[in-house]
Parts: sequence; structure tokens; C-alpha cells
Amino acid sequence: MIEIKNLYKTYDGGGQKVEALKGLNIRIDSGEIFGFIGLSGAGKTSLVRCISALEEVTSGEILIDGEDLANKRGKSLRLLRKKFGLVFQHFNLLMNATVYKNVEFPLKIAKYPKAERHKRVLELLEVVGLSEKKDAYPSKLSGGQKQRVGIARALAADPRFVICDEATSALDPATTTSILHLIKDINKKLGITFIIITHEMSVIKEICTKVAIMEGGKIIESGDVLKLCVWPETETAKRFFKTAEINLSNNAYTLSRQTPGEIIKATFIGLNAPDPYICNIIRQFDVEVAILGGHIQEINETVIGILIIKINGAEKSIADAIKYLDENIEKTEVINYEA
Amino acid sequence: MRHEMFSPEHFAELYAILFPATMDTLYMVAYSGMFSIVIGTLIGVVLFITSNEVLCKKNWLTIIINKILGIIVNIGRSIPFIILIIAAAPLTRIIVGTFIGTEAAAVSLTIAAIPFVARLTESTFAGLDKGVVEASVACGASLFQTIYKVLIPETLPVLILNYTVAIVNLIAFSAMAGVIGGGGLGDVAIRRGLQHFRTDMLIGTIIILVVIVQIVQLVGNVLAKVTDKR
Repeated sequence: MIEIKNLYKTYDGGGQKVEALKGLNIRIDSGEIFGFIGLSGAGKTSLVRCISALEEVTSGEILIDGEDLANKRGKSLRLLRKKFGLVFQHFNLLMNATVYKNVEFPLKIAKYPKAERHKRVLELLEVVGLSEKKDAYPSKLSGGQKQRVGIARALAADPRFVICDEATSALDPATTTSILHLIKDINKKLGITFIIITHEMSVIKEICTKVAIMEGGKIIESGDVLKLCVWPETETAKRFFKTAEINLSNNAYTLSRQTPGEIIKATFIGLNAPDPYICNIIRQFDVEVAILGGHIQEINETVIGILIIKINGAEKSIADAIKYLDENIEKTEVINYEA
Repeated sequence: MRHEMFSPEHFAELYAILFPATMDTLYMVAYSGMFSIVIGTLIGVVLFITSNEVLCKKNWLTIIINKILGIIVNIGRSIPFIILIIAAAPLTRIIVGTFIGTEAAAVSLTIAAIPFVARLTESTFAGLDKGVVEASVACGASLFQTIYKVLIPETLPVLILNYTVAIVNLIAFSAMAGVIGGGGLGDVAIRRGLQHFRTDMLIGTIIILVVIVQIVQLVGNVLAKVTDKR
């Protein structure tokens, strides 16, 4: 478990102080895939560098299984570092060493005996699917393969946590998906906690269980990905989860306004998604329902359906129908006046 | 005594003068090359790590070491070699017991080349992607492990090319060794070739120097290529 308490990080760049982290608090439980999302300048990179002890914190605590990382130096710091594996955006592999040697590197540092190193490297290359490439040099690998080596290296010395700093940001979409699946697999099989730093919502939605949204050096909202996706509170969260929204074209709005009725955005989650609520309101409340748009997506293997409908009928019937929806499904919003 | 251009006597004379001179040059370059590369690289490593925040936390000690070494290196590089070779006499005397002769010249050459190699080494390390150094540190590697497992192996091809440049420079500088009786090909070229109007000697030394430089550069290039897997 990682607990970050009131973390501040100030950079002193040529007399000018830049506050990168301003009192950050978060708890990351073991076994989780925890995402940090934010625009550039939000403090994600500073956070990652503080957690991995590449930078000293200005004030605050970073507790790794109860041990404070912030005051560690020298040997005890190096020991604590071995609990972490880092995966970098630009891979940062040893270009003059083979794939095998790259994966072996942390094992050598951790002083594993030779036979064990050999066994472990082959095992890891198997996990990331690069067994045949063990004698190749990184320059001969594709971006996705390089990142697989990066992941194998991060996993090598049996870390408790793996931090992925924009690990997929330099990769194309198909490769990104395969790398994300690999991360999810490893998380499930080995129970390693992953900390994912990204600016891409798709990465969060694809694999993260928890997410923290960063802005201006702080965490402005955090929790279950699913929860934040459906009930975002802050503007930034809403912006990030916009892809979870459905945007009717202007034409559809204009057309639907030409006839009377209320426009409703209904969000269904998980098990209740297939139930025939729309059918029910038509039967029970004497209203007409027109479907303007909708989509279904999966977050964390949970189905989320969003439907935009227009309900027309007597005022009382419309109110009753909305009330019924509100009581039965995850979220009901009247969005008549949204542009 | 003048001989016919292509007479055996003429070649014998050339050989008698140029062969020992070549040996002297090779001796001076080999020794000064070896010592300046080892010491210069060490200083280059210190210069680099004292200016790298990931490897070495910045504090007053690292800043002072970096600044002082930097100043010494700059001073060493700004003194003309012809002056240095004489100015270094006391030091040379301590190290090899005399301040004249080939050995003394080798010491002067070493002193002249160390700052050059140090700067080249520092800039070579600075050219390495700093993410690689961070990755090493993040793996829990100590400073020493990062130096000999990451910094040096990762930059080896560039280091080799830079060492080659340094050695070629030493060959050129060794021409001035004659000032303190160091001998060598440069000495022959200046004293016999230029001052005694022996064009044949002059051309002979130049041919030998060209061949030596070509061989050194070729070996450097091949070694750099073999070690470069990037």
C-alpha cells in the first residue's frame, strides 16, 4: 500500500520557484491498477518522480507499506527502490545491450545468483512474449516490443509496485491496446500493483480500477473509475470523461426541439442495462418516447449504456415517467437546455 | 654527406634516422595515450556525476568539486603545448626523474591530453539519454554500478572515437617534443627536414606520420563500429 500525505514539491529553477505539487493526498491499495490522469503541467511527472525517489520531496510523506520514502538516503533508499519497477514513455533501455541483458540488469543490481537470473529472465521474456528476441538489440525492435522489454525489466526484481509513466503515449493505438492487456494480465496473475500515469482517458477506462484526476498540482477528484465516469463532480473530471457522454449533433437537437417534450439522458450501469425501462414508462405513464441517440461501452468490464430519449405527453405523465426512471436506473438527467 | 636519391646508402641513412624516431614517437604516444585516457576518463566521470542531479545530489561539495575541476581543466586546455612542455618540467622531474628526453616528453604530453580527454568524456556522457541513467538509478543501482554498467558501456563507441581523436592529437603534439630532447618524428622533420633543408627527411617523416594516423583512425573506427549496437 502506498499512502501519500500532504505532498509538496517545489522546483527551484534559477531563482524562480515553481510549485509542481501542492499538498497531495492519496492512498493506493495493493493489487490495484491506479490511474493518475491530468493535462500537461498538472504535476503527474513530478508525482511519479517523487514516488520513485528520483526527486526529493519538498515536504510531506510517501509511505510505502508504512515506511516513509521521503527521508531515505543511500543504501536504505536503494533497498526501497527495489520495491518499484518503472516503465518509461521512451523505454530508456540500454541500447548497447541485448534484450536479455536489459532484463537481467535489475537482477544483477539486486545480486541474484547467476542461475536464478537466467531462469528469471527467460520466464519474464515468456510473460511479455519476447522469447525469440532475447539476443536482439533494442534498435532492432519495434516500439511495442521495446516497451515489452521495458515491462519485463520493471518486473524483473520482483517489485511490489510498477509505475508506468506515460508508458503507451509513444505507441500506436493497436500496440497500446496490446500493452494494456499485458499490464492487466500481469496485474491479475501476479497481483502486482500498477500505477498508471497518463493523459489519455482511454487508458484509464481500459484497465484502471481507481483513478485520480490531477490539476494544478493537486488531486481534485478520485475514486472508482466507474463512479467518476458516471458521476463526475468537477469540471475537469467532466471534461476528461466527456467521451463517456454522448454528444448529439446540433441538427438532432434542433429537430427534437421542434416538437414538444422533455429530453432525457439516461445512464444505465451493469446488470440493469438490459431491463426494459423504456418500454415500462410507455406502458405505465401514457407517454411517447423517441430515441435520439445512445451508446454502450465497457469500463473495467462493466457495461455502461447511455440513452438520450425524448418523452412527450401530459405534463403529469412526463414527470411521473422521469421519476420512475430516476428511481430505477443509475442516473437520469433532463438536458433540455444544454447547447 | 649526400647520397644518390635511390642508392642503398641513402635508404640506410634514412632508416638509421627515421626508425628510432618512429619508435620514439610511438613510445611517447603510447604512454601518454594510455595514461591520459585513464586519468582523463576518471576526471570526465567526476565532472559528469557532480553535475548530474539524478546520480549525485547537488550540495556545496559537488558544486565545489565540479567548479574547481572545471577550472583546472580549462586552464590545462588553454596553455599552448610548447609552453606547457617547459612549464611542466618540475613535475616531470618528480615523476620520471628528469625533465629532458622521450620519457619526460611523454609525461608532458599526458598532462596536456588529460584535460582534453576529460572534457570529451564529460560531453560524451552528457550526450547519453538521461532517461537511461534514471532507469538505472530507479532499478536501485549504486553510483558506481551506474558508471560501469550503464554510462561507460552505453557510450563506449563514442568514447572510442573520442579517444582516437585524442591519440591523433597526441601524435601531432609529439612533434614539439624535440624542444626538451624528446626526439621523435616531429623532431626529425623540424631539425633535419626544415632547418637542414633535407626535403627527403621531411617527406619521409610526413609519410610515416600519415601512415600512423591512418592506422590509428582505422583501428578506432573499427573498434567503435564493433562495439556499437545502437
